[in-house]
Amino acid sequence: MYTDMQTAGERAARITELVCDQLEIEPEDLGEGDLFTDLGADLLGLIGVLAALEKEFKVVIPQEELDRLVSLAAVREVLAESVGW
Amino acid sequence: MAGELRGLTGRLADWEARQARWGGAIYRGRGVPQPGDVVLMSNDYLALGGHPHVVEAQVRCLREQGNGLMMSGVFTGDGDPQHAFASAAAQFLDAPAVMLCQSGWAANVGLIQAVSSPGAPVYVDATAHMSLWAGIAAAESVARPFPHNDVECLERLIGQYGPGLIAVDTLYSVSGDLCPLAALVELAERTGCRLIADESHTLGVLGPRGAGLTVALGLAERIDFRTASLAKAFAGRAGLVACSRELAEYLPFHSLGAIFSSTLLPHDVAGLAAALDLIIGADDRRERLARNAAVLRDGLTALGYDVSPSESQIIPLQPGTEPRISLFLNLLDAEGVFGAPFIPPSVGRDRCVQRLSVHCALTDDDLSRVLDACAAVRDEAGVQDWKTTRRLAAA
Repeated sequence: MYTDMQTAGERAARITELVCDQLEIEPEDLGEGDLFTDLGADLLGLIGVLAALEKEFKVVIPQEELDRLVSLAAVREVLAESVGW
Repeated sequence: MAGELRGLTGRLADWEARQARWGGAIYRGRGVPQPGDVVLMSNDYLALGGHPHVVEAQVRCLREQGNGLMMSGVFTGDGDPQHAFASAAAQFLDAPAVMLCQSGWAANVGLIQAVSSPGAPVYVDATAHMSLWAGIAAAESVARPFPHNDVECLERLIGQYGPGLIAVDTLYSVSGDLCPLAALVELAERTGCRLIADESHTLGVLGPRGAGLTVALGLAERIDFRTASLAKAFAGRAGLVACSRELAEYLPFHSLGAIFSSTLLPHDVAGLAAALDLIIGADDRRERLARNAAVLRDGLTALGYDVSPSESQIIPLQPGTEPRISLFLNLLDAEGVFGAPFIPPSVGRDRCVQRLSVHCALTDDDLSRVLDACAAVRDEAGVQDWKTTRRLAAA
């Protein structure tokens, strides 16, 4: 669970963990810029990513952002915009 | 040939390449089950498709009426046998009324197309049947998918986008788990949403007299729309929408599939009516089905297969990728155990499933043969390397 006390590194690691868990990808197989679709991600997985981020970081992310969730780097960007980091 | 449909040449080439990659029989050339083999491909859960009462009713009707009227069912007269069956189905479902459709697909597409509106939100479970998604597209509504069975997330979405339809399966056709129906009903009522519950895989199977999950939970008066394919436990060709009388009168004239498809054939209706007779009194078959499903789920789990989250007669074996399910399917076929492969577009690219559809007529020898086959192919199929197996081991 996210807290304001988390360091940027801890937060980044938690995001990676959530994404890998939802997309069923091993963390060592996921680079920052790797495209989720190349790794077999589908709508079900991306919906899960969105919901997990919302729950963890207590933020609302519009479903229109789903199209932007193409990579780990993109997830961090969308989340940062939503939270206001 | 003049012109080309945009992108079709490329799509055909992709399809050829996909079949070539498959490297085994599924799209073409799959073997035919031989006598003594165990067939777990059919959704005839109560084994009624060949029951003399059903077959004789169909044959008798076919001899007496032939194929009946070739016209839209909307405009057939009150004497059409489909109306009598619709009334019987409504009574069975404890519903005010039922509209019959050509299929479960037609029921869902026609219902959503007729009751939703362009731009309106439809909250759909991310793993719900494709016909619900097709209905959303037909209505030009906006699909708002929520994670499978995640009522908390659904509530957040409704908070964002406002009241609309909620569309779920009561029993999911690939994963074999139930939806949290009581919680969904409560949420729908609290947020001003309307609920569609697709009962295709629960009719005949769950609840008193096999009337489905809605009736089992005493929610018949609180769910706006129940839909179903009757090509499961009813072992026929049709679908239905159970709803208020007002909507049952509205739908046939506004659901395009109802207007622009020819009516159900009389012998199909006769078969469905005969199946309903049997389903109502089929507690022994339901008990046997539940037992058979439990034996297989437990046995497969003991063999190291992850069959979660199934809690029903639908048992998913989950190789994941197409190459893995290709290998697994061919190995199981060779052992004389024929399941149903679920590959894209039925599931996501790496979520391929070999579904075992249990039925009540399986004998103890049949169940043993299935488990023996799954034990025999386990190592060669690389079950230990499937994602779901690893996830189960890590849990």
